[in-house]
Amino acid sequence: MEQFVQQLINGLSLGAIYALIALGYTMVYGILRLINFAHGDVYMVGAFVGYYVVRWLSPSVGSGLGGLLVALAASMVACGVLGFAIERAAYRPLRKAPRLNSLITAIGVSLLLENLAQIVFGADPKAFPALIERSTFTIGIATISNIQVIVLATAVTLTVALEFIVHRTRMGTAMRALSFSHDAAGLMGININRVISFTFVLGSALAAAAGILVGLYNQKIDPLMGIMPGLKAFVAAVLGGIGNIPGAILGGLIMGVAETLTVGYLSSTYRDAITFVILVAVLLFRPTGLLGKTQRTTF
Amino acid sequence: MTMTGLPLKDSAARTLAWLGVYLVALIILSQAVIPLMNPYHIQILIFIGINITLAVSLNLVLGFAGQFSIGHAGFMALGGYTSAAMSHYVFAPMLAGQSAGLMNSLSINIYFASSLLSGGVMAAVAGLVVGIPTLRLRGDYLAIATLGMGEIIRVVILNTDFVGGARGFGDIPPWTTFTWVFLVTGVCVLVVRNLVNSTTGRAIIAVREDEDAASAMGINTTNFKVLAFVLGAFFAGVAGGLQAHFIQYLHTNSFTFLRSIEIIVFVVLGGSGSITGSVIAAAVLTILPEFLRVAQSWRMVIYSTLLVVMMLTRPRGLMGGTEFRWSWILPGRKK
Amino acid sequence: MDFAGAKEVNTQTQPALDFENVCLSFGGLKAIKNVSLRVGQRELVGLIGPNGAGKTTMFNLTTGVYAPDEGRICLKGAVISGRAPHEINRLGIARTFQNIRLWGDLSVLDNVRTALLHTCGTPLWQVVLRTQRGARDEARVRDQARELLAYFDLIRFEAEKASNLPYGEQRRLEIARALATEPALLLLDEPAAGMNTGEKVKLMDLIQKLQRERHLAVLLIEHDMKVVMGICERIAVLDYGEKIAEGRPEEIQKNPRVIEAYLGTPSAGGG
Repeated sequence: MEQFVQQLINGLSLGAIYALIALGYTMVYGILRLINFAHGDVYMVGAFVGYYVVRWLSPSVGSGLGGLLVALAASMVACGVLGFAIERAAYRPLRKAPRLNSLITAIGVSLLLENLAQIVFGADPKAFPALIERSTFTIGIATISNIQVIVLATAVTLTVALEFIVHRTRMGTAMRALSFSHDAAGLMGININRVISFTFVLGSALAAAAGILVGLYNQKIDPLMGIMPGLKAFVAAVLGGIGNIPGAILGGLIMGVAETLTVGYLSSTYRDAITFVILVAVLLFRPTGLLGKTQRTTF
Repeated sequence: MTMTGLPLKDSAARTLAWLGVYLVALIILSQAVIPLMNPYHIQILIFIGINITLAVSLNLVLGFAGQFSIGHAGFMALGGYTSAAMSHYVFAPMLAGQSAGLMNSLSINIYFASSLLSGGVMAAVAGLVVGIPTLRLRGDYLAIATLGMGEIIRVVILNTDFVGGARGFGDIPPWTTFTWVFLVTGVCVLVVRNLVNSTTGRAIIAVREDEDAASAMGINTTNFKVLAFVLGAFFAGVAGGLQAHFIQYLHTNSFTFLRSIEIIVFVVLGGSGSITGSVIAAAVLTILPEFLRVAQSWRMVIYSTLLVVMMLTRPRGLMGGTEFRWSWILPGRKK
Repeated sequence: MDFAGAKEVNTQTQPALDFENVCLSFGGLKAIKNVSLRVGQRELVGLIGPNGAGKTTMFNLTTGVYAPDEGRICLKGAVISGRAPHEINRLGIARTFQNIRLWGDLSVLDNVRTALLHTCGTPLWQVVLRTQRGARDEARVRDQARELLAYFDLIRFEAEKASNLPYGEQRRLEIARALATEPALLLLDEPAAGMNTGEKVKLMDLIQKLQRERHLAVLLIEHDMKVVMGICERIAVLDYGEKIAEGRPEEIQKNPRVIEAYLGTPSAGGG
């Protein structure tokens, strides 16, 4: 039992990361019906930006909670810009084109980011600065590390902020309108391009935060670190119901727990396989996801 | 007779003529040209053939049937491993038991053909099993499902010990020759081309163009999507077998999503829906890295930039969805 | 069931299409409210009504795109509601679309060839390897497609991409394609839309000729009243998902409910 609760805590921490990344996927898909394959690599860039920023800062600033906040801020801004640029350059021109073209372009951008990162940052893994000294707390039968607390706290904070934006600001309402219909939203005077850019910026910022948190948690980063988590976060978004924000969070948490339990109770070789099993199961049995709605085709 | 003086397109005579020309070319090449070439160049030719087979088979699924299948490498892996296992565990021992002599080379060819076929069939069966449930899905969902399937296949193979598991599968008999590759590539191109030009092939394209109109005209769309999918998987499997018996070693790392993407690049750059385009793109993109002996990363940077630029400027690819026509190079008859 | 004594159902007397008390809702919206309609085996029936009345929805129900929530649809006595669209086509119903859905990238010839797929009996491997039998079957399909194109005066376009055809020709091609599937009932969804007067007259002649020569039942959705009144033997009128009138053209023209549906109530405020 003890081990189970421990695994659960670990799973939820991992799941929180997946949820943050999944939010970006789900928002972009909800608005553009595009699977932004490059999103996982934005997460990777976020981690690297944090890495360089912290190393560049003086030790007094670049450590502890302050250092973490600086890293988060810098990285979220940088990736917001990156996300904006990608959308502008690679996706916007293809908005009217067949879906396959955008899919292929997204794959192309993803590969480009990964391989440029390998050249620019070097292919070897880097040690993420240990901003905060590790310590653990024991609560009842389980132990939780302060890093895990930070991960969960950051994720919760960002999620709450997102919910506020989506439900209580005009931009958020515009985003939701756009996810129903571009034409109707446009007719209502919504600047579609601006809303789409904003969505990309938002999603990318969240992915960047996830990157920093992972750097903190795993203490190592590398240019290809975005591939698997990106895929897993995408499956999480699909699991929760793609286009559905609470769904992305739910999906992320489930994926994190499922993966941790699989590694803990089955074998670590199946770590990645469980992702695809879940994916296939969802697509075959409930393609709209846990919180998604069924749609009727219209002629 | 058509305007260019050739037998009527799509007649039995035309197909036989093509077969004749191809076999003559094969004999000339294999007897007179190949023995004079250095092994490195022969190797490139073999890889070109394998890549053409992969590209044309994927084009059937992606370009002609319009199905977003991005797990093609999974079928290649399945075919490669199955044929390698057959050769290693069944045929090689049988061969060893035979006495040497003329019968041996005949036996090798029969065994190899059986291995390749078993690889192709295994991949085709997987295509059926994967295709029937997932081809109901549309667009992006199908892409992700095929991606997932490809990865599942890879992980399952990785965890299968009798084909080497994480260590890889070695000791595969070196049975792949230029002749074999030439033949397989030829068969693949012929089959796909003939299928696409037939009424059934037109129906497959119709399903791509407008699926609902197709069902309204009596076409069971799922059947045709599955047909393209299974056939594509079959040839991918055979290509995998050819590769396995050439490199003589298999590891699941060669069959990741990245490999699937490489094949997609061949199809997309050459022009999805154009067999000629796939052939050209596969050939060029196999040779090019040999000239640009640059780091793997730079190669991928170029590939991916090319991909993005292509999608933004000329999404229909090099050939733009058209095929080579004899009338482009042969003079027409005056009426 | 008593098979020995069962009477043989005479499909000759069955209506081509029998819409029995069909209801269909989309979420909260009732799109089709208890509609019943019959089309006899050689009848040319018109379906009219204001925009949004549910006419195309009725076509979609008939061809299997939607299954009715209540009621059923029969073709020559056999129940077709709930079956898949491609099955229903094979049973004998073909259609054209309001917004022309040809296979644009395929040639004009290939659009019709594809619809003739059901006539191909040769096993696929023979076709792919172009054996004598396979090649001959393919040639036969091509010839049959050409015959159909000639009938519709489209043969000179046979090598053109369907999307390059002028509008009126595209509409004719759609009808040719539908006919290639050898239906007993042909559903035409606004075939005259966007045509000029001359083209419309030719279309009317074509439809009547088709009906005579091929013994078809035809159900026609049209907005152009001259076309409808000109060729339809019977007309059904739909408004807000309900059938509000049915009868011969002269009767429909004078029907007050029909007039009201199109023009609105003669209001108290004058006008």
